Amino acid sequence: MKSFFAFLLLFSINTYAAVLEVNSSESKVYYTVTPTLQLNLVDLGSDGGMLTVFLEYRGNDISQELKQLHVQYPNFQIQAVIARSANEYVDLEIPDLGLKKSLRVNQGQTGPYINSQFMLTAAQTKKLKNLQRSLKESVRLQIPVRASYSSGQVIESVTLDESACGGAKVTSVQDIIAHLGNMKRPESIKKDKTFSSLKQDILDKCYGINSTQINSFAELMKHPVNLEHPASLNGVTTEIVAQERFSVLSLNLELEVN
Amino acid sequence: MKGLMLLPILLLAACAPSGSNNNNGNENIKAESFQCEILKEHVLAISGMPKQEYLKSFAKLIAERESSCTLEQVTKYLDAVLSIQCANDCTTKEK
Repeated sequence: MKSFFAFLLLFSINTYAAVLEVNSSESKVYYTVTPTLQLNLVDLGSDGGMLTVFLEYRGNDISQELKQLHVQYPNFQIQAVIARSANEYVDLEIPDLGLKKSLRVNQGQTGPYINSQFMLTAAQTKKLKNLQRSLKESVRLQIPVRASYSSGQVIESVTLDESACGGAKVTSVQDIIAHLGNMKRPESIKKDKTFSSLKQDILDKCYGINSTQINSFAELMKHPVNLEHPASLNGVTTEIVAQERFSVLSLNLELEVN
Repeated sequence: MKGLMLLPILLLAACAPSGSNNNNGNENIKAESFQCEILKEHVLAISGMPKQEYLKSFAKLIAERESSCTLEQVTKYLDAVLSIQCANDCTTKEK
């Protein structure tokens, strides 16, 4: 029986997930999923070797990457964006082997994938097996990708100081209503949404309300409020804008030798 | 009973600008009636919120109202058509 051995090595060509955008206004991180580039070498002895190059998306790796992003960006929603290869072919290079192969990139549901197979000489097979731990530095494969998605962008924003709360004249709910109703739109604000958002921020940050019982709208209007002292008050208008980002696909690298 | 039914209409009529002729007056009452109906629906929609959120949402609704009624008129109108109870949460119901 032919002697048989196998070993597995897992490296990451790019250590971090490909984050496309950290969007503070949406509290959302957009990223492309990192696939694993698997090099599977079958040693055929004096006949050389057969190398299978396979780019795949694994559930466990995707979950792990997601967990890391949640740790890196707490309180952010993590949104995966499907990457599309910018080129139909990419070059796989392993200079130590004198190897350069053009590989076709296909598009899958999760992102680009590669499934290619070719023969190596006996010398190349031996060298590849010897590379093992320096594989990460030896293998060169870059997959330029294009990612299209839509994200909320701040179109207009304004920041005011505490005086926008209305000061000591605001002592009841009806005072808040009168203050907001009579409030003049700052000249720097062009959009209604920004002004409305500013009023909401004033409501959220400026007034504290005690817990007395209320039995009518007349009582509600006269209900006392406490003035708070926020550091700043903000109004923003965000709009959904189509984005197109170009980057290089982040890859894990795995070598399996049989 | 009949008097109670008429009360909201009378309150709305009071919002019509003074000096308007009968036709304009009727149009204004129709417009106010429409705005007040919307306001009533919005106030009903925030029913059940915790008190703090309710009062702030209510304040924003009233501050941004389209109606030309004064705060006092709006208050009387809401008390005529809705009941409200606030302890930890605020609940509003149609009368």
